[in-house]
Parts: sequence; structure tokens; C-alpha cells
Amino acid sequence: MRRIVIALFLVGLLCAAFYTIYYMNTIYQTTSTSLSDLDVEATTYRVALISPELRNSYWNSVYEGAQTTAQEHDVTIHYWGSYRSNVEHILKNMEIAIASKVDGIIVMGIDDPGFLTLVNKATKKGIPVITISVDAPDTLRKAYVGSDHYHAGIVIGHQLAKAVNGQGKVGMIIGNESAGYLKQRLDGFIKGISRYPEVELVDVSPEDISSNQASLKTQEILNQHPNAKAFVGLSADDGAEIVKAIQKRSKVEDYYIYTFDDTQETLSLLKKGLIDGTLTHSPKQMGERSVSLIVQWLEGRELPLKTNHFTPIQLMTKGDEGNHENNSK
Amino acid sequence: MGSFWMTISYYNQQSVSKYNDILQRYLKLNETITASQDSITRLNDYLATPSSEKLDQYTISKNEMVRSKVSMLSLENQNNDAILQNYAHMLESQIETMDLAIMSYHRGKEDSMTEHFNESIRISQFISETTLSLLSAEVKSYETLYIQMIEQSANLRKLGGWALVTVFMILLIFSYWFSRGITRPISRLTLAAREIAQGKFDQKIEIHTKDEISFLAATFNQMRENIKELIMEIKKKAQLEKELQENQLLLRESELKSLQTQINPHFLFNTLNTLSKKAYLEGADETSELIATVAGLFRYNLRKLDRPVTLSDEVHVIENYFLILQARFSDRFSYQLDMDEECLDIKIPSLILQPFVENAFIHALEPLEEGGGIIVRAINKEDHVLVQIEDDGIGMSEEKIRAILDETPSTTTKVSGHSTGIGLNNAIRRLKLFYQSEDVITIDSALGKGTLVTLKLYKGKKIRREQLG
Repeated sequence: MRRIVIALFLVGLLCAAFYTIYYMNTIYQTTSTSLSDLDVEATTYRVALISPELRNSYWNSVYEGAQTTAQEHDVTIHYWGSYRSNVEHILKNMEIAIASKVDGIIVMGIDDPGFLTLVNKATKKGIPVITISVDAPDTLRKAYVGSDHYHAGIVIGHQLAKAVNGQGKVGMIIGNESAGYLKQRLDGFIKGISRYPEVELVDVSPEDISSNQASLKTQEILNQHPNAKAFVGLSADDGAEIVKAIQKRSKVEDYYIYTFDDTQETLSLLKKGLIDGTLTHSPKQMGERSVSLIVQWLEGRELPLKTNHFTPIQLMTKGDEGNHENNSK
Repeated sequence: MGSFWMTISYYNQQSVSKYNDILQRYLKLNETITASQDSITRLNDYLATPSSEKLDQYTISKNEMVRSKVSMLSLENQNNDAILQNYAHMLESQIETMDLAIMSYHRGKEDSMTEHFNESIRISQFISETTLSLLSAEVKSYETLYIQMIEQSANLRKLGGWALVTVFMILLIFSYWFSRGITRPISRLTLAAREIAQGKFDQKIEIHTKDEISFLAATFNQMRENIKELIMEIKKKAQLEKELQENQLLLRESELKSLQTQINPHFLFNTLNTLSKKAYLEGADETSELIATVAGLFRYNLRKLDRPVTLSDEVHVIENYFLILQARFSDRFSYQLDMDEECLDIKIPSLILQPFVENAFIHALEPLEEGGGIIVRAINKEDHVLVQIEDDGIGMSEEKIRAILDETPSTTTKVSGHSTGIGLNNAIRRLKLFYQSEDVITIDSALGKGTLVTLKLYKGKKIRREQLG
């Protein structure tokens, strides 16, 4: 009996001792790993990348590209923006960037007087501004990195003209004509179809429609020109709108629809065969390029910078979807 | 144990100070916002209703901002480096625009003053907003630390608990061990005492602790040894007493027996002497001699029996006896004495040889018609003398030999007409007592072959130290 008690007691003691030592050890371990106030390396360059749409896969690619170059050159990218295109928010972010005295700003060009003021203010304060994806040539921006919209217009123009066999009416859907890049696309497009005189570009005058919405425009065009076989949508979501409008009346597949952008929706429409072709851009390259340009400017190499840095665009028609990098999302 | 608690509280202290540090950082951030907002207010005040005190107040505020900007930069770490830079620059920008506003005001340029002032307001707002992101960066960087610290506290608590249990158990063991160290010797002592009480004196007590208990045990051991010795002595004494008493008894026996024959011994003795003289006067020389011999025998028997006598005395007595026997039985009896002269001086108890010779004659020779002879020899050996009584009589059987040697009271003590009455038993016993040894007699005999009785008489110190009686 006695022996059992002694044995139990010893076991208990061993247990207790073991746990004590175990916890001692744990505590010792954890105290040695504490957050080190790291010695920060020499201050890196801070570059603000201001995006109109943060959750966008296109802009995510831009950010990705920017980050890749940034890491090579010891640059910190501040990725700011709004979740829904909001001019005021973009302007505010720019102001913050300027107040924070960042080393460079990469922003999408906006057709807005406030934007112009801010870009010039930044430039005056010695902060280089680079426009990305859409240019703002009136401002004192140092360079533009993005697709060549004029050339894009030409490509689409050619393609569409070929598709309609060199003759027919093409409904033109354009948002805000004043937006510079849209105008460029339009000019390019006109140039593109100029070789095919039988191809006629039709539009409706603004008084005939209640709003500038693409679908309404499409409807009106169809009303006025019932034999129009093709449509070209110059702004981003025009494709979807055009399809919507046509679907109400007739089969979409009979129409030749071309757009200029590679948004998710546009691509899925292309996949379904509802639109016939669009362009893909290279946002990642834009990101990379713009950051390296900023660095170049900051390091004072080969100044002044070349103004236009065009990134590749690619025509995508039905059947090409597999090749596109953004497709998998 | 104390140092253990000290380490625990040290770790605790560390955690607390870390918490403290982190809080400090937050406070610094807060200070900055306050400074920024304060300066705007002061500036506004001044621009609205200018006065030199207000200007001073503004300057104080502005310096506050500068100071907090500097202290901000000390908060740099891995996660918030870039944001912190922006933040610092924003503070700068605000200061710049505020100063520009004042400058414009002093130059009277209202428009640019308003513009700069508005800008500084906006920047101040930006600062407040950015603080939020800074705070979240702080939280993120210290998130793991917070979790660690909480874990640490939990661990510390558990450690404390287990340490307590362990120490408690260790203490239990120690106290048990100590108390056992005291009680065990005591119980051993008790056990030993019980054993001694039961009469076992041989267990030695072993206690090795160097304290009073071991002293007790040592004295106890001594006591035990003493008791053992004393008991042995008592036993020995008792033994001695017993032998003494036995001897006395034997002596009494022989005295009694001899007394039986002493009916007014002196009268008999004197009468015999007279008879001897008368016989001699009447010309019977042989008869006279015979009567003298008998007288001699009587005289010898009258003396005290407890003194040792010499071998030569005994031999004399034997010779007398033989003479008498020869007178009675002439042809039928012969004797021979073969003595080594040197050994005749040894001391032997009295009346030893005679019983043997008597015995030899009565039992061995008398039954034989033709009689026989007795030879008595004394052989001197180194430490003893061998006395042999040999006869060529009828011999005795094994049983008889054994009976004699075992001293069983039997026919040898029967008083007959030929014996002086002191039996073999008596003689043998007295021999044994005298020499303190059992090895005093051997008998070689076989029926029809005669008998040889050998007595071993030791010389020297084997004899009892005191005189018997």
C-alpha cells in the first residue's frame, strides 16, 4: 500500500517538474523572439500609384508590374485609389501624395481642370508625374505609358472593315467625345476604314437621345439605320451595352461588334461569340515601365524622358481567348 | 524558489514595459494630430484677429508640430517606414503652407493667403486620415507581439501554478525525509530494546546518524555487551558451583562409606597393633606382618580423603592390599608392579587405584578356579602418566564396559565381602572432576581375554586450582 502511495507521489512530482520546466522553456523561447526595431535601410523612393478602380484585375496587373520593378530598385509603391471611378477621390489622393512629398506619381490621365492643376503643382514641386493607360497631354506630365490609342483605332478599323467585306454601315458608339483617348481611337478608326470607302460610319446626334447611354444610342442607330451591320464601341463598357440593345431586337451573332478594351465582361462576351473582336492591352508592362521611368528620372539618367512609351496591344477575336493573360480570372 | 519568482516577475515586467512602449507610440501619434489641429486653429485665430500674442501662440503650436514630427520619426520600423515618411512630409507641407499663408497675409495678398490657408486645412485633414492608416500599420506590426505577450502571460500563469505544485511536492518530500531521519533511528532503538527484553543479546544496533540517537544506540550496544558478558560469567559460576557441589557430594559419599567402616577406628587400630605385637611375641611373624598390613590399610582409610595424595602413596596401599590378598589366596593370586620411578610424585586424588584393583580381583579373578594375576604399571608420558591395571581374568562384555564408563549405578556398588566399598563410579567421577576432563579412563577387555584398564593422570595445571572441600 505504502509503495503505491510513494509511486503515485513520485509520478505526480515528475509531472509537475516536467510541466514547470516545459513552461519555463516556452517562456524563455518566446521572449527571445520579439519584434526588432529594424534598422531601416537608406530611405527608399516612395512612388504613389493612383488607380481609378482598386479591385480591377487590369489595375492589379498594373500594380503587379509596378511592384516587380519597384523591388529591383528599392522603391516603395503606395497603391492608392478608389473602388469606383471617382474623380474627386483621385484628386484627393493626388493632393495627399503631393503633401506627402512622394518621389513620383503614376496616375491615369483624367480630363478635368482640377487634375491639370494638381499635375502642374506636383511638377512645380519637383515630383515627376507619369500618366498611365490614358494620357493627359495638356499637363506638365513627364511621360505617358500605355497603349497607343490612335494606332488601336486603326487596327480595329482595319479589322472591322475586313469583317464587313469592305462595305456597310458601322454604328459608332462613343461616350464622352471630349475624352482625349477616345478621340484618338476614333481618329484612328476613321483612318483605319478610310481605305474602304464603302464603309460608312454612322452616328446619331445628341438631341435624338435622352442620355448618352450606349444601349440607347445603339437602339437609335438601329432605328435610323436599320441596315447597319456593324458596331464599334469606343469606351470600356460599350460592348456590353451594344449587345444588350441588339439582343432586344434580333440575333446578336449577325452583327459585327468590335470594342477596344479587355474588361472581364467584354472578354466573356467575346468568348460567347456575342462580340467579334476587341483589343487587349499590357497593363503589367505599363506598371513596370512607368516605375522604371520614374527611377530613371530620379536618378537623372538620360533626361529628358521620352514622352510616349507605347505598350503593346493585341487584337483578339473569337477563338483567340486562350492566349490572353487576363483570361483566366 | 525566491530567484524563481524573481525571474517570473522580471518577465512580467518586461511584458508590461513592452505594452508601455507600444502605448507610447500611439500617444505620440495622437500628439501629432493634436499639434497639427492646434496650429490650424491658432493660425485661424491670428488671421481673423491678428495680434502679437496670437502670433506667438501660433509659433508655439508650430514648433510643437516640428517637435512631434521629429519624435514621429523615432517610431520607424519594418512595416511603417514608407507611411511614416509620407506622414512626416505631410507635417512639413502643412507647416510650409501655414507659413506661406502668413507671409501672404503680411504682404497683403488676400487671395493667396486664403488659398494657402485652405490648403493647410486640407493637409491637416489628410494628416488625421493618414493617422488611421499609421495606427493600423502599428497594430499590424505589433499584432504578433500582442498575441505573443498574451500567450506569455498565460504561460507565466501556468508556470507559476506548476512551479507552486512542484515546490509543494518537493517540500513534502523533504519534510517526510527529515522526519523519517529522526523517527527511524528511534524505532530501531525501540526494536532493539524489545529484542533485548526478549533475551536475544546478539543483535548489534546500527545507527549512523551523527546525533544524540546514535549516542544512545552506542551506549545501548555497550549495555547489551555488558549484559551478555555478565550472563556468561553467571553461567560459568553456576557451572562451577554445580561441579563443586557434585564433588562435595561425591566426597561426602565416599566419606560416608568410609565412615561406615569406621566404627571407633582408633580402637580397632590400636587393637590390631596390639594383636600384631602379640602375634610377634608368640612367634607368629607372618601373622604379625599381616596384621600390620591390615592396620596400615585402616590407617590409610582413616585419613582425610579430600587431600590429593601422591601416586607413590597409592601404590603403597595397593601393595598392602596385594599382600593381604596373597595371604588369603596364595596360589590363586599373583601380582606384579611395574612403576616408572619418575612419575610417582604426581598428585592424584586419594583412593583411586584401589577400587580398580579391587574390581579387577573381585570380578575378573575370583570367579576363575585357577585364579589369575594383576599387573599394575605406571608409564611416564610427557604431560600425563598412564596407569594400567591389567588382569588376565574373565574379561568383561561390551555392555559392562559401557556401563562402567557411563557410570550407571549397577553391580559395582554392591557391597560385598571383598570390597572396601568405594565403588568404581565414585572413583571415576572423582577422577573426572579432579582433572576436569572426561578423558581419564579407557577399558580394553573382551570376554575370556582379560581386562586392561588405563587411567590417564594429567600432570600440571589441569588440576583444579582450589582444594576440594
